[in-house]
Amino acid sequence: MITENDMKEYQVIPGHVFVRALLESVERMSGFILTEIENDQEAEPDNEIIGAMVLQGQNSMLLTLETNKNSAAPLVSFMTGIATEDLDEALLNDGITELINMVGGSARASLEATNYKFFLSVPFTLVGESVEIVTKKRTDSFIAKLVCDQINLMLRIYKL
Amino acid sequence: MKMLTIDDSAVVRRIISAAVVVLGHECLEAESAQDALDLLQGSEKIELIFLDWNMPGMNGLEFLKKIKQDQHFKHIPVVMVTTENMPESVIEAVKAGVSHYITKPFSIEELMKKIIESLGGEVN
Amino acid sequence: MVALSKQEYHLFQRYIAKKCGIELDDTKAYLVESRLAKLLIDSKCENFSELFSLLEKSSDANIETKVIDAITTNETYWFRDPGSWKIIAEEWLPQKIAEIQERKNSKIRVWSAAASTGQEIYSLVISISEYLKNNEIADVSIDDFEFIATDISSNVLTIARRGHYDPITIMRGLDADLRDAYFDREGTAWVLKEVYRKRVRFEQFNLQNSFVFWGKFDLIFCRNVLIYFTDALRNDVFKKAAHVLKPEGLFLIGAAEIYYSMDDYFQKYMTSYGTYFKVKEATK
Repeated sequence: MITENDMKEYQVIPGHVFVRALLESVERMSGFILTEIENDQEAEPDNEIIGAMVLQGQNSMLLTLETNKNSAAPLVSFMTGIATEDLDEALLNDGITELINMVGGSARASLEATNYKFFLSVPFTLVGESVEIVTKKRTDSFIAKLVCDQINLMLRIYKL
Repeated sequence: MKMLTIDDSAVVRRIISAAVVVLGHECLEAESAQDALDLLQGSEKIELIFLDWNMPGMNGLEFLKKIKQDQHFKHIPVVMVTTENMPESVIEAVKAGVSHYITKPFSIEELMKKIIESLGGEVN
Repeated sequence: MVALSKQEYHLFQRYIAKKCGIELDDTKAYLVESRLAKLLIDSKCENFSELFSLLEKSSDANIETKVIDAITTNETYWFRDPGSWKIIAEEWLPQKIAEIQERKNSKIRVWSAAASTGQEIYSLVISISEYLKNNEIADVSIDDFEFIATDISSNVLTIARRGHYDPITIMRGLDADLRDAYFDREGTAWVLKEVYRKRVRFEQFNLQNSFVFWGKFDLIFCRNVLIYFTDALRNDVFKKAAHVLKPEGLFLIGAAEIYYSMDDYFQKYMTSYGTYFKVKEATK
């Protein structure tokens, strides 16, 4: 049984756990090995797809994966075996949502015995031309940029 | 053989269907547990089910318990395909009658090995 | 909850080092945890200590193979790191072809040192074949090349030798045109034509061992495998690789991999397509 003493206390959002979950999910499902790189705020392309999931717990979070169709296409193509030209938007959106689902699921076990323990909820997608999530000024967040070939993903976790 | 994949993700259904077809069988798809029940109650003779756990509406575990109580369907082997990876979840699913379990994310090779195992084949 | 404790990680770390000579560094605990988590479910173990006990007690080689495969198997695809294939076509292949034509080299030897299921080495075979065809080079052929591919896992090598790929695996990185030209359809699988398959020699090999037996190479792929090794083993691999590379031989690692200790043995060349390495003169 996990007692109070066994609980690991994170002072900030344990973003690295989610990064690892994303790396593993993408590699297993598609074969791509993502690398984390420096985030250059200015050079960010517009997002067209944001996969999201609310993680409920003592320290609730909003887990998001921001990307565009050009990045989602090779990912979903390698996952499903469908050529990029035959992929429709619904599948692209669904692929990103399912990745967020897997990231949440993988990270959950790792954070079970910590102050960031959470429950999963239903994943969803935000779509549109240059879609973004805007938060209040002092919202705590974690951000990681992950790339491979032409794939460009932004993992962003907000403290709720 | 005719199989059925139940998952609210079209991408996951597609991956499972593709793997099933590679192994020489047919695969039907259901987006929800309710759709799956309708399909089963129709004239489809399903011989293996791939079941997601977390779905809107009836979840996978509820669906599983339901079909295991139904004499027409309780014999159909069920493979749970889910992000639920905690030991308690696995135990709960096995107690409810799941015959095989695969956690997401999974590789194609892993999925195919699991399908072969579920069909009672030897994996080498 | 399924967490891998430090002590449990060290148990597996030592076990893997002993059984297959892979020295996982201390930062790879999460990798062992996630790779073996599925095995816990399959072998009905409640935690990693139980799995380890099963491994030790078991006279059944099955669980041992499953653990080793779980740790060492990685996903791969065709023409991984697009930039590296441009480097091969522009910086390496023309030179090697010239060497054959001028009789300065009798055989161009290539080694894929973490071959996995074969996509890397077969991508090279296809690349070279396409280059020769597209540039209408008649006096050099695939016969002038020798392809060696090794991996620590015999299971992946079996798959590689067969050259059979399912419809999802075949399309990961391979254009339909190349697929149609180099593969035959067998039911739902795509099989690399025998004339190309037979060109590659697949062997099980542990990178901890001496490379001397393999002779000298014009190109070595060592991609996405060094990341798992300790610094000491990595340096050992660099040193050994430098000694089996011919002058002007190319050493290729994964596009995202950076190891400063390579500077001791290799000269780095940076191009718009990516980075490649050649042996530093001093090493020779």
